[in-house]
Amino acid sequence: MFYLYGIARWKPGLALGVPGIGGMAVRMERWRGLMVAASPFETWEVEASTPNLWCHEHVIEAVMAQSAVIPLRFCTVVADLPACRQLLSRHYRQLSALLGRVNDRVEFALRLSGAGSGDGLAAAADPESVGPGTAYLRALARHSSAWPEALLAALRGALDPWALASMPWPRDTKSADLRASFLVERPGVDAFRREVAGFGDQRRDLTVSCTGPWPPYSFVADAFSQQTDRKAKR
Amino acid sequence: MFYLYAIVAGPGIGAELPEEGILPGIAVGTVACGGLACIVSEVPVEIFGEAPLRLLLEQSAWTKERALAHERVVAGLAAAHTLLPLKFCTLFSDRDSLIRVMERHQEALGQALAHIRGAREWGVKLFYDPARLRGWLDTEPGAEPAPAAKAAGAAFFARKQNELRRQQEVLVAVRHCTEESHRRLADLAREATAAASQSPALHGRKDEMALNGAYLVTEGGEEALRDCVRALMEAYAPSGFDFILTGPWAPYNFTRLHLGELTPPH
Amino acid sequence: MENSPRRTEPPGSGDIVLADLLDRALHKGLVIWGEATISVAGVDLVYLGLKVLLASTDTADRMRKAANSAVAKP
Repeated sequence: MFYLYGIARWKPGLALGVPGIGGMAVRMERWRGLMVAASPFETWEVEASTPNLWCHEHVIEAVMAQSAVIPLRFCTVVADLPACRQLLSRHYRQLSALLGRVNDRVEFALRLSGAGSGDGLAAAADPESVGPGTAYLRALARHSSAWPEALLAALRGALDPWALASMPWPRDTKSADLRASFLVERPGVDAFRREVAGFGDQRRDLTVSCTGPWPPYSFVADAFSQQTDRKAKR
Repeated sequence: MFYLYAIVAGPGIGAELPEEGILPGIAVGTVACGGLACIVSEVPVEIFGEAPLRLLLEQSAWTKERALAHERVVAGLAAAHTLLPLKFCTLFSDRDSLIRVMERHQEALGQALAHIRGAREWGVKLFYDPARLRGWLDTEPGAEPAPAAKAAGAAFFARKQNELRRQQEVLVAVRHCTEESHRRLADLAREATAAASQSPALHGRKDEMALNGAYLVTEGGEEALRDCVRALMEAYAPSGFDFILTGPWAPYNFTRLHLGELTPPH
Repeated sequence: MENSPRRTEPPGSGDIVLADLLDRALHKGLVIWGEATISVAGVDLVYLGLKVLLASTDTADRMRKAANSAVAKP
């Protein structure tokens, strides 16, 4: 079995210099113009421990330093090397297109805390009448997973001009933080960081954290539409 | 072997027993135990023993016939008696083991019967059409505008982001409808449960199941339940939600029974 | 060895960096669904991939047995 880290554009002579999970050597398995970073592994399940997660991350970063890469989700394991190649061949066009979209682009993770509970969309439904007004249901759907509108607009206003794409995360009941991912062209990284710092200065009411650069995890996550998957399933 | 259909309070069922049991030609009888009566059939071990039964249950036609037979016996009696229906294929190796189990659980069974007395089970299933719901959510004016795309690559991500947002909105709307519906119905019931949604292979509909609820409702409260379902249907039909009310059922979901002894794996 | 420094604002928030890593590695990144075919001694075995892996080691064992018995046939 093989643990997979990421899919990249084929480049000859790539030397990674970082070990894989469990200290195993990482190889680049090629199929035509693509390659996948893989290391031998014993079982189907990998413990999501901090060292393993960082190992996953470091292998992807090592590849990314030398070629465009699509990071895979943690714990992607295949049966054997032919399965690796089939992965690449089966989704060749989509993977190539996706690599084109993330080439030389990195992700930044924004976290805002101290934002309060949002627009104050109270449970306005009349408890007597059954079912919500249609407007209420729409508004609820729109707001309960989203950032407070004004805050999102402010953040996007400040940072969108310096990023290629932005992606607010749905609000999480477990965490009070508001999170967003930004896709930034590598040459624009310093400028982006400056703008984040500037936004933080303007908004002293918030705690703004920005980590990165990360491989573009959030921008490849749902890249394959269901439609395509159904075709691939034969 | 003894096949157990249900447990009722008190002895006197007698002449009201259904003619045919779990298999054609097999009679239905009672076994008294304390203040309770078990509704049973004596069945051959060649069919209902663990090994042969396991094989037979793999044949869907046979299983379906048996399940219908089981339900016929239970439903036939439930109209006139407070009874605890047992799960399909609850079996005992002999009369002694049946009585032993009844004696051991005598008090719990009495309480279980008291809990369901005067009430019947009703099922409410909620379905929705994701595409229709998404379209309905989209028609609100002033929807969040897509962020301005600066380059071809950015347009791809903007589209993806929009899709994700719309999917998320559908989930929120479904969750709200499901929670509100279950809450309102449960308020009218002595007890309520929400089972796992069934697969499309089971319910055979093209849309998605959002709620598979069961409600134990007193006979006096049934009209209010029906009114509530009607009101929910009216409120949510425009957004593509469909409510299906079924019942009355024998209170399968409210017996709170876990008996030991022989039960074949499902 | 980290060759791209992971800056944080405010600095020194290792927990935030780990949290951001968990968000990404566990919940984002590409997930590839669909079938993958492997060939064992000339026998094509088709399985459904979940994260392109078999659902359990039981399935893997069954597949190996099937492959072995197929090979044993004349």
